Amino acid sequence: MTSIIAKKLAKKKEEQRSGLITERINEMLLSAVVMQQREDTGIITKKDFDIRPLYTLGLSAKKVKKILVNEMLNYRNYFSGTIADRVRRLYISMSLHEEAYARLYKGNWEIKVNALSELYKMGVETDHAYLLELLNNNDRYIREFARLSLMKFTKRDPLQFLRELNEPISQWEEFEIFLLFQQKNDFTLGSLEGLISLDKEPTVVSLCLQLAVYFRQWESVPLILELIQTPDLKLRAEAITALGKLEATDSAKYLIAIYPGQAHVIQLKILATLGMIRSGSYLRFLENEFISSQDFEIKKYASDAIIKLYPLSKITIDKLMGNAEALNQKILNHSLNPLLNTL
Amino acid sequence: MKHFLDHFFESYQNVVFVYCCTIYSIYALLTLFSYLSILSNIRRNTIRENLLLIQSPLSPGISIITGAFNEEMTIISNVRSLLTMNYPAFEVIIVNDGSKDKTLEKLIEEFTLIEVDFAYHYFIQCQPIQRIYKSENSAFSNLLVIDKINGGSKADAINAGINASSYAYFLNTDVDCILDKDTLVQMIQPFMDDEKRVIATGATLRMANSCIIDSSVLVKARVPRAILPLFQEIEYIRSFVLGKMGWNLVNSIPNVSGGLGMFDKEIVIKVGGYDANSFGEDMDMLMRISKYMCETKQEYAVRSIPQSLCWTEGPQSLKVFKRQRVRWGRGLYQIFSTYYKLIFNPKYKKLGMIVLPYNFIFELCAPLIEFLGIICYIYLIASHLINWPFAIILLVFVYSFSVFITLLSIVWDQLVIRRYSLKEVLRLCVFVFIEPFIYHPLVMVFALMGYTNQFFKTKSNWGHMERRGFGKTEKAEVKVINATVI
Repeated sequence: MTSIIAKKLAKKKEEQRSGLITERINEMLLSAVVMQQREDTGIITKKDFDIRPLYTLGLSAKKVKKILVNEMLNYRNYFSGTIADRVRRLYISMSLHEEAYARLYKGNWEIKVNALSELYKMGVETDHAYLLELLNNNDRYIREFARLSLMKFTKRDPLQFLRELNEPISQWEEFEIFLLFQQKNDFTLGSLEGLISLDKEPTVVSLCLQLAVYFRQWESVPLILELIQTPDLKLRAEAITALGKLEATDSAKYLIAIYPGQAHVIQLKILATLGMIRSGSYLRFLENEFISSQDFEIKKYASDAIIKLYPLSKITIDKLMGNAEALNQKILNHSLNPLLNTL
Repeated sequence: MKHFLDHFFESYQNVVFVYCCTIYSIYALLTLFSYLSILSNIRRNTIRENLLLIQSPLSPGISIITGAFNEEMTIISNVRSLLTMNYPAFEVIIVNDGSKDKTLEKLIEEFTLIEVDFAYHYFIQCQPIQRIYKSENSAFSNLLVIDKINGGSKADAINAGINASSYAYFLNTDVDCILDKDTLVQMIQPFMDDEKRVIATGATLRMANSCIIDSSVLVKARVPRAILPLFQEIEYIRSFVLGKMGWNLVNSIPNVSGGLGMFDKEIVIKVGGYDANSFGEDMDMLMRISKYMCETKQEYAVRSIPQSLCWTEGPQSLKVFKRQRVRWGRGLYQIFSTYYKLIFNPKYKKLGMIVLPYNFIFELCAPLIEFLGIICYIYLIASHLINWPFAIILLVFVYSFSVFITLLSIVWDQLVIRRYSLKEVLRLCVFVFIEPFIYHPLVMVFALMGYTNQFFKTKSNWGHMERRGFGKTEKAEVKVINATVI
């Protein structure tokens, strides 16, 4: 009980102080990086941004700097372009990156991973050789940030680190890498050969499929088609969806050929993909599946695909609406209703 | 006969002693585990920024599913609150479970709903669907309202919602629960970041009684003023922050609360959805999905996060509280009569070797052993056979240990987030000392009543709930007439 009271009081006092310091830092950052009209951003120096008066407000210099870095990271999260770049320059001119470097070589994983993440998010390059060494660290978060940093600062072939990767990546890391490539404008995505492959770790392949779609990499289509042979149903489904998103017209024939022998979930993906491909050449197949299948989901996916092919499918829709039995009519109405297809 | 009773009760003292030692050793271990689990969660949150999930086009969609039965007082503000969740891709599915009041009419009017020709398929069993509505207003394009025949249970309503949901994950909550704006972002995190396939995630629930709520948004969290919700608040902190976070470390969480739980829809559909006849449908669901994963030889994890994300009205009257706890007792008994074959079955790994045995011995049997213990003491006192020094030492030990553990759980809770003022934390701590004398015996008696009802198959229903509502007035204090059944 005493410990709760003591901790509560101490924490309350610290929170009040850090609140005041955060407010001051925010004001300083606003005037130095947001309100700044000058294009020449290199001139914000340690002298222009003097935080020493804040050390007298009751918190240690270390804690004040921590608040400053957190605020800078928030600015980097919420601003892009010039403002984000100004924050980065300010961070470097205040030598905060050197402090992060120092922490990077400390033993404690938490300090190390926080320093890595700070440098990565600030866009400050780290010692390449040391990052390579960290790729073999026991801690997954350290390995992950080392990988991200290497990919961020490698211009020539950032994908090489994925090629060398043999462990699964979490979906979180997949999101991080995807966002990194989305925001990275100083490179071109190289060939995904060797990455979209049956031998590769499925989570890495899954990420590469997303990248192929995002960067509209049609040259990956043959690799994706080969991937459909994978016994991993989840990956196979993702590969088929990627073909749809790439609108790989030529793959439709192959997808229809393999359709009968596929698992139910894969059949659904093939139907959805035919809708995305929009060639309209396989309308008869979709129509047949819609009418003859006894499975609700097959009917629903076929119907959605037919509707997506509008106006190519106009005649088919009219014909189906005219002859359809109650359930089919309901499914078609569902697919046609714009209120039900907003998600 | 007397000789037999003397011998039985004397031996029983030793049984109680061994039982107490074992359970307290487990509690001590759980205290340590929960501390480690909370620390790991805090550390992870310093590395993982939820902003990524909001920015990423890859973030998975989530369906929020909730049942509504006679909720006309609160439905509008609650749905509005659900629609403002901080997440890029989600839908809100409200299942009007045959309300007799104006719940549906209010929804139709407020959200400009129109009936749509929805191709509804019964992937899992539920009572028939009457109508489905969508909003004409594009601002509410992610709202879907299902009107169905009353199924007599929340489980049936949630099953109806699952059938109509579009996304791979769903959040099961009560419509009257007040959710934190970041609930979806926080609860999807374990699914995205775990090395195993996560099939369910839970978070900490708190009492909304006495909190300041404005239009279904929590403005200020406060410790309940009324005594019964206050004891429940203490119980919830112990159960969620210490119990579930402790079990989280060893991936042996027994239950994800029906008030707030996120699930992998694929697995839930594969096991046939919620059991509408179960009195403990939330625990039953976790048992079934875990059992399914073991039987199909898939690695899985059930996770809990220590953040308080959901505030619910706790029963304020003894009558409603009794009804809730009797139902929980029935639910627990029902679970073990269904899954007894899994106990100590190595095929079911942690479910069979840890989760079920622990819950059987230390949850289901605890009220029985305790009750028998009280009888034993009375008998030994009456027969002048009691060993007073031993009895007093045992009682003092049991009391001080349970108080100590509960106090620690409050400290752990303070590690996660400090929502209460010092005065309120102290108030909680004071009531921790009283809890074993007032609240605990009630819980024990109601649990035993639940077991008896289930054993004799006494007819029972979920009970009618009335609410005053707290969405109409500005910063109105939550006052409960007849509180929710969680």
